[in-house]
Amino acid sequence: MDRVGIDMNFSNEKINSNTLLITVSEDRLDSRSAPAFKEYFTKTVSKEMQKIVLDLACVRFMDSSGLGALISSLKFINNQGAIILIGIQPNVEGLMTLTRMDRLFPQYENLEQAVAMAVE
Amino acid sequence: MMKAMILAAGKGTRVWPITKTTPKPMIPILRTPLMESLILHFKKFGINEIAVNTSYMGSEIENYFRDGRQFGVDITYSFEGCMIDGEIQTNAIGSAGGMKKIQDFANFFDDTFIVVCGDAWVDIDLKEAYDFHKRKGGIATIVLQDVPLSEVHKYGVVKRNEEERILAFQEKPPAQEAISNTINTGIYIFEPEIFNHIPSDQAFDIGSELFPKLVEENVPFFGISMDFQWVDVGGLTDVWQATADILTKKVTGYPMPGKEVSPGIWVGINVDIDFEQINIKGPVYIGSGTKIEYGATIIGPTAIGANCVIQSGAIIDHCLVDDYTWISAVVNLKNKVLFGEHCIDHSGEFVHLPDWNIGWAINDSRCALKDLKVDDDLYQASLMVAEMANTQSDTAKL
Repeated sequence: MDRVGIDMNFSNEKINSNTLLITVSEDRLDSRSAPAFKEYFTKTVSKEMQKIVLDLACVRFMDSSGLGALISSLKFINNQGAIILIGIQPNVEGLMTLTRMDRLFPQYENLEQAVAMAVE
Repeated sequence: MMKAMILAAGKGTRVWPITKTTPKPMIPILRTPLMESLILHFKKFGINEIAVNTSYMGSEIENYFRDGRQFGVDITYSFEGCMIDGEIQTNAIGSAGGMKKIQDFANFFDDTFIVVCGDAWVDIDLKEAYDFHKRKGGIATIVLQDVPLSEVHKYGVVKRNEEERILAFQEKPPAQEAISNTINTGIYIFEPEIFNHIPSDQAFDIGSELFPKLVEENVPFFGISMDFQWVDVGGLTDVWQATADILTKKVTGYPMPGKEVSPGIWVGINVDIDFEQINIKGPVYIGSGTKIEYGATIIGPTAIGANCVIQSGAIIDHCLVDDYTWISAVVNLKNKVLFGEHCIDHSGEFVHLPDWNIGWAINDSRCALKDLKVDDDLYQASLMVAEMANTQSDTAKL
């Protein structure tokens, strides 16, 4: 288990050789926390990690900046893999559906389902 | 015919955030405020002198209805509150308190009169209710409706004897404790003697204070069960429900705006829409001055306000969209009410749109949109998804 950056309210855990779980423990992913998330993501995610499972269960609110951070994270891993969302809350889901970003980020209820999808 | 009083002083707490900018009686349901549709119904029965008590956002109501002449009635307002240092301070005094204030002013109610809530439309046969009231000879008649037992927890429940005299009241009981499934609709007919039972200069409520007091004092009053349609906005989710019920014809007879250009499609004037070039499935209402670009999808029941712009490719499905809304091509709006600055879903959850900061997706159509500050990556990603028929290689194109 490899945990870094807990003080920044982001943490990660390697699930298997190509799957990384990133947990966001902020209750808002907005203009204040989104830049830190972007930075954390680029520092944490390495090339061999093809499946990033993002646990957003704590995030009760996300704005355009948070959504932008997710998009730039997706661009960062480019065509090498996927960002899979778990624990998505109604406000976040509402924003993602409205902007159709739900189509770019597969969503699952929990880690087990996400991993099952991820290792296909 | 009778004089009438419309109760319009409530704060509409349960309809927040819509009531942040619109008092409850003024909430437009398919362009007509509920209170207007109520006045038009009164007019049909020859009721043409109406007292309205106002308080919260009272000016909105008073400026809309003015002296009532444009609706063919005369309206007087009784404002509950005062002006302090140039600021209006509201001080609502309850439904019965509001009646008493009007009566204490100049004895307006000099004969049998009707009192109704301003936040509901009903198509009740007032003549039938009036005749019942006169026949029974009580000082009050409550119009009642029978509802399924599972619904009684939302209402005041009454119990009557075989002469239809009211014996007991129960406020919002759980189904298993309900004394009946007959509920108070908030429509009352009174004789002026009722004022002997209402204290002056204090807050007093009809349902929870006046009627229990009449029961306690053994004053005869009656309840008539009637079958009629009823559209109200008791809670936030009712704004959508009422609109959908009218569009789907579950409720009939509510004033419908626009012209039915094809079955289930009602449109105002001066619209910019090529119906051959959009995907539309009724029932849908589209307000005057609205532009819908080719390739947009509108699925009913949906009501789109006046002066909106719906861009090419946008999807609007089971929604209520306020006037002057700009919806960009990226948007997939499903099961939502856009009212003022809020996006409200059909379960009543809402978000203040400026908090989401997505002016590039939903905005006011009067904004100078070319100056929009767009997070370009985000907008482009959103637009790309909107344009994709197939998501297989979405990320590759980012």
